[in-house]
Amino acid sequence: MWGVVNLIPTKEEWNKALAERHGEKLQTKFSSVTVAICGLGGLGSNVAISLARAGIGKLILIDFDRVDITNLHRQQYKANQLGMNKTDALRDNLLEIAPYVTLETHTICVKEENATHLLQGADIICEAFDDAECKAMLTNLVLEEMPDKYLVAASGMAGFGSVNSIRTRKITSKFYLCGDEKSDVQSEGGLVSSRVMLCAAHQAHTVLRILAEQFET
Amino acid sequence: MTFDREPDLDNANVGMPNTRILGITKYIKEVTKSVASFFVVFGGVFMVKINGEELNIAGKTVAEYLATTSYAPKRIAVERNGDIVPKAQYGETVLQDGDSVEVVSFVGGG
Repeated sequence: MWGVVNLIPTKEEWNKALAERHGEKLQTKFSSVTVAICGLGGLGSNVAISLARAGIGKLILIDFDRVDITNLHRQQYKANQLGMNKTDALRDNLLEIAPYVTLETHTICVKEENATHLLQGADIICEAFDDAECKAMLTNLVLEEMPDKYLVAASGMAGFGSVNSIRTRKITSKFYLCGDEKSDVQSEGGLVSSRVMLCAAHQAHTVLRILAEQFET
Repeated sequence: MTFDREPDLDNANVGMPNTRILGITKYIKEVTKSVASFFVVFGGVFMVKINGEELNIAGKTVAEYLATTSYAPKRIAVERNGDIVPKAQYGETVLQDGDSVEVVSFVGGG
């Protein structure tokens, strides 16, 4: 039997493969930016994987929580990672997927007092919390205090509603909102992996579109 | 300064408005203005577009408008004419005729 030789590609090979897909100019841009992901649950863990695969240069990963069995149906963690900090578990998983992404992790709860410090290095911020008040807090804070940064937030992706009701809207020139804006986890009775992933894909794709300067109208 | 000829003082009033006609024109203008103001105030021209819906609430502050709604204050962000309205300024931001406002109300899940 022939064994499979698992050689990790060199950084040059990696970048060349990405440039062939996205174009040299765009890939150079992707690799030069920093995206912060606030909350590493169903949205954030999926956003992180999409962006790492796309060759985003640096990700700032922020979450205070640990991997729980109730997370595994929709979040990008493994059964053998239960109990780990989500920051550490996601870092491990991302580096297996995309070995040359630069990661900065903060195992902390994002609050008004620390957000500016945590997010100062980011060009684009993804709001990926699950709590509605935390979502609003971060949105107001970023748009008020960091007007030069882009914010890609999410609202409304719970339940078994249609995939086609998940959308992306440009609210201001720096603020994009993904989701159906209605399906609350409280009323919909839970989060379904595929629909949360869909919303996360909207967020990740919006980040890439902003970088490609293809803005929503 | 010299003139080619002496000014013709007999025709000095040519071009001067007839004061009686001027009075009537002014009157008509004033009446038109009053009628226009009436429609501006009572005809619903002071409209603010909120989440796509035209509301007759110009002159109210953002805080006054929000108090008439069921939005949870801690779950919202308010955009007005393309800019975020800082939360601390809801009480002093007066909605103007023609403003376009969007209240984003977050729901849970992620």
